[in-house]
Amino acid sequence: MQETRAGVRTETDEELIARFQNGQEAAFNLLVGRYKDQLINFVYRYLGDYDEADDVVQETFVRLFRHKSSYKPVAKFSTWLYTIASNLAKTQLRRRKRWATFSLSKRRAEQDDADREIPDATYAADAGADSALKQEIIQKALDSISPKYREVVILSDIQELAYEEICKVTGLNIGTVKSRLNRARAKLRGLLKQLKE
Amino acid sequence: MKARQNMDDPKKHTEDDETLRRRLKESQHVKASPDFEARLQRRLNEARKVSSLQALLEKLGMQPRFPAYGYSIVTVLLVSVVSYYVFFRSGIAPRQESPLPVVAEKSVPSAKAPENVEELDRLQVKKESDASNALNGKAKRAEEPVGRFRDKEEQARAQPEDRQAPSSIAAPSQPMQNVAPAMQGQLESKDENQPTVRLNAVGVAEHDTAANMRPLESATVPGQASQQEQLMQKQVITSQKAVGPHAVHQDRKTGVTLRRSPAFTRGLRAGTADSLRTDSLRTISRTADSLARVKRHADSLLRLTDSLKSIRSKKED
Repeated sequence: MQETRAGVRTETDEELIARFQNGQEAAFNLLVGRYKDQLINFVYRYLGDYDEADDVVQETFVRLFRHKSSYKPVAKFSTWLYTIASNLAKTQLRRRKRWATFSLSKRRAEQDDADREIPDATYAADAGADSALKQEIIQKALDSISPKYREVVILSDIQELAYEEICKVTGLNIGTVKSRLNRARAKLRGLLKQLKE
Repeated sequence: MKARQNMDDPKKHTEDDETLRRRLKESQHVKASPDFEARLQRRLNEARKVSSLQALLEKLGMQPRFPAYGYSIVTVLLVSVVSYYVFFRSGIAPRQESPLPVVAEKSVPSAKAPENVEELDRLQVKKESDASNALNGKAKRAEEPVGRFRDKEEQARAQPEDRQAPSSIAAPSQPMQNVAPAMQGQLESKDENQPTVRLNAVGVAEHDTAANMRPLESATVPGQASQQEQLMQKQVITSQKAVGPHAVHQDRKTGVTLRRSPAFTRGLRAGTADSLRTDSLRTISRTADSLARVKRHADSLLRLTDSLKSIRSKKED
């Protein structure tokens, strides 16, 4: 149980999954609510396509539902969930390379990206357009780097996962993670320079 | 240049990293669509249906790899059914051994050699003459120069005598050629059992020089030849029985005597055994004929020399 600032006790991920493993589907719904946005953001940044990201995240939760008993409380639940999502995203990328198709919905998704993303009220109207442009530039920069660097930088700098978690999700050792991170940041720095200017 | 300076300077490097991290962190996060959970529920319901089938298979002890095994099992069953209907039901069955030759003999012949020796000799002569005439038509025609030397009247008279004179029978000392060893032994044993008869037969042949010069003749009716062949075959069978014990038993249902084929034909099909028997009979008859011919020629030569001597002596006188 976790205590929020308001003093409300909330169950931890491990407790929820334990309840779900005992047969309580309500715990599963709670877990879905907690992680759907994070996973969508991660997979979208990785694949660059919203529909594909939505499909991958749906499949992630379906696998969680089917193989709930395979989770052991040795590692964090978020690590286990991110691992599933990362593997499915890589599979989708390989499939995309094999079956190079033109997605009709992609154009529409790019246009409607602003609708799907719930706008932050703190932004000013004129800043909204600027923000959308910045998002597009960042996404294009991420798409241009290699997937293995992209994954690491997204998990570290966007999702804000710890190095140990990144190691478990990617299956790499900490030295490799750090080196890939440095290389990814160096590439992104050059690409995003125009944004600063 | 500026980039290199940035890279070389670690402070600058970290500052840039921090800036980048901040920028990435502050980037707007993409969120799930409002109907995400509804669509997920629908997907889960479909997955439940599939998982129930897998659970059933697991209950039955089958692994989820059932489809692969199932296809192979179905294929094997299909191939076996098709091959059954193609090869076995259509009548293409493996060859079976021929059934026992049924010899419809009402009476069981005696174990010993037939007592009627004369009958045996007559039959043998018949057989030899018939076989030689029926099968060696060309050879008979080749012998005609010998037959031209005698009168036609003598020819007509000599026919019954020829049959009586077993001149074609080989001397006991002379081995039969091209005869199956079993049959040879049986014939020789017959010869041994009846030596007196053989001598008598030879004596008769010697005396009847004129008859010996005549070519062998026999009834040229083909039906008779086949009947005689059958008789000979029966006799061969009885002689075989005389030599060694062969399984003879009566069929309980029909009462027909069933005789087991000789050892050297066992394992062969009925047609092959019969053809072997026929071939051996032919060979015996041919050999006998050739020997008889040789003897006749020798006799005729002797007679000629005698006659020439007598003529010379008369002239001298």
